[in-house]
Amino acid sequence: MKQQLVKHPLKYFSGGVWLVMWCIFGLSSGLFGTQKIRIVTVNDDFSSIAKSIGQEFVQVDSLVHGSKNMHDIQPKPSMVMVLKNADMIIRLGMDQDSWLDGLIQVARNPKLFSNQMGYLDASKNIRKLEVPTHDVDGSHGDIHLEGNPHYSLNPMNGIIIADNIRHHLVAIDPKNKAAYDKNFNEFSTHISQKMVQWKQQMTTVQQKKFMSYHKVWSYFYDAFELDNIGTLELVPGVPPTIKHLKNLKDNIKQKKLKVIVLTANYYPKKVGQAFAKDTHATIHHLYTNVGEDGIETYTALFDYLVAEISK
Amino acid sequence: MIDFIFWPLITCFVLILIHGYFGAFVLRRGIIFIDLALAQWAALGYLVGHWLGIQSSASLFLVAFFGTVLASLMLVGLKSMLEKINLQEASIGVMYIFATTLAMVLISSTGMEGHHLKEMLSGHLLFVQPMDVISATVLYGVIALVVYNIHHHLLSSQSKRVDLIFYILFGLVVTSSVKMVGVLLVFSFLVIPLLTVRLFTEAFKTQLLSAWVLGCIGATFGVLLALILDIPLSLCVILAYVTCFFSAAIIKHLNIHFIKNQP
Repeated sequence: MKQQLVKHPLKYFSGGVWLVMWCIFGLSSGLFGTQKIRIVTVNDDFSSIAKSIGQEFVQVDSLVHGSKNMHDIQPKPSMVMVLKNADMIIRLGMDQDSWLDGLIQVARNPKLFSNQMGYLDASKNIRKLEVPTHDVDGSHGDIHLEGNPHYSLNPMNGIIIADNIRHHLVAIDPKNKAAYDKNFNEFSTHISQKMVQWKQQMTTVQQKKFMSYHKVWSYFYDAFELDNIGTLELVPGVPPTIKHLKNLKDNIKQKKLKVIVLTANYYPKKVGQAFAKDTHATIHHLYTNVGEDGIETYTALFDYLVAEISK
Repeated sequence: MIDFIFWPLITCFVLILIHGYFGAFVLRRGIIFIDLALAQWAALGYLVGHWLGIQSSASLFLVAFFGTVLASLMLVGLKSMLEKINLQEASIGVMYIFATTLAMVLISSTGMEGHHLKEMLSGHLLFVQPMDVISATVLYGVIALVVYNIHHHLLSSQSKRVDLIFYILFGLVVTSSVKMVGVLLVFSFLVIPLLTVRLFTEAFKTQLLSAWVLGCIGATFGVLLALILDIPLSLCVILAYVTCFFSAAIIKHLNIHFIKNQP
């Protein structure tokens, strides 16, 4: 009995080591109490906006860089590690980045569960376009059930996304509320001012008709009041059919429309080019997200898009 | 680290056990692409299920399985007409194209999104959920019991009834495994370890046991490599298997030369 009560000296030693380590840890986090909030975003658009709002209080990592089709992402092991250590995740939502659900499940980081403030679906509060209004039943498939997910292509939606981010940051880190509010106001003013300038630039093409390969540009059309006359794809994800392309061409030729075709860099260039050649249309093959050559921020993205399209 | 590769590893082991067994038969019968064809039929069934508005995953599984049953019936019917092994393989290819085309037609004429088709064929090893693995293990357990009892019939008999049973059991396996880890990895589990072992032995029992061991070791290496290189797990497992296969082929080649050159 007596022997069981006597602890081995090494146990005291290891206990001591733990104590010292805890003290150092406690002290350091007390002294340098500015542990940055680790934000993980699904793409660079959101990381740019999150940096604008969080600035020196946040450290932002993006899972996917550049202009990619967010539907076709192959998750990597390192993504799980990034999510494990995150305080907040900002996702695109609207079924577009459903691969993230698996990652969040595997990472098992309770801060990122969907009922937590560390989980932000950036599509919250966005006025969604192309949401089916009729009763959707099985016979329609479940095409665009939640509407068009390319909402970040309207710069004014950037302000809504920024507001969502501010809201969540304030909840996670209330003591810096004033800074987040100030940063948000600056961001919002900046975008609004830029918007006037962008609209001015876009007047040169306001009379043209716009087409695209896939329904990527709906929010962009909406933002700049552009006339959309259709997509080369008849059904999202299925290559254009001959009959549909012919109908589009006939319509353009009959009405002698001046057309600009927009294709995102992750859709086939050739189909758009061939179509544009046949109809004497202008074609722009464009990046749609932050993170490509020289497009470092959310505002730079629109500087680039507006400059290219209004050429 | 360990916690998020634990379930993927378990999944690999379970899949190797069941696919190794079926793989041995697939190689013997010379019907290598049967899994691609059956998986495509399962995907078609799954798509039809979505089109009909079926929500519960158990019912979707049944509809997908029904797709493979349909394909099995057709294959058994065709076999009596096209008995030669290479013709059988060709008809399996036709079945694959048939299902893929039907699925594309269904997508383009109903306005469904194409990702449903992909969903069924591109599972993700990193994302397997414990519940999926456990229910799949139970299913494979039941199938293994059936197979254990009819093993000798499978091995020797060429009757239509046995063929149909083989196809249906295999369809059941593929319907669940392809959705879990994707078509590429399932095909690798089925064929590569067995093929590697076949370089050295013809005996069924030795083949199966060594393929199981090789498969498990290869999968473990693959998963660890994936962590180091940071590329998707399933790709690394396949690379590990392919490396095993080619190293074995080189060893075999050298062996033959060595024996030849001995006085």
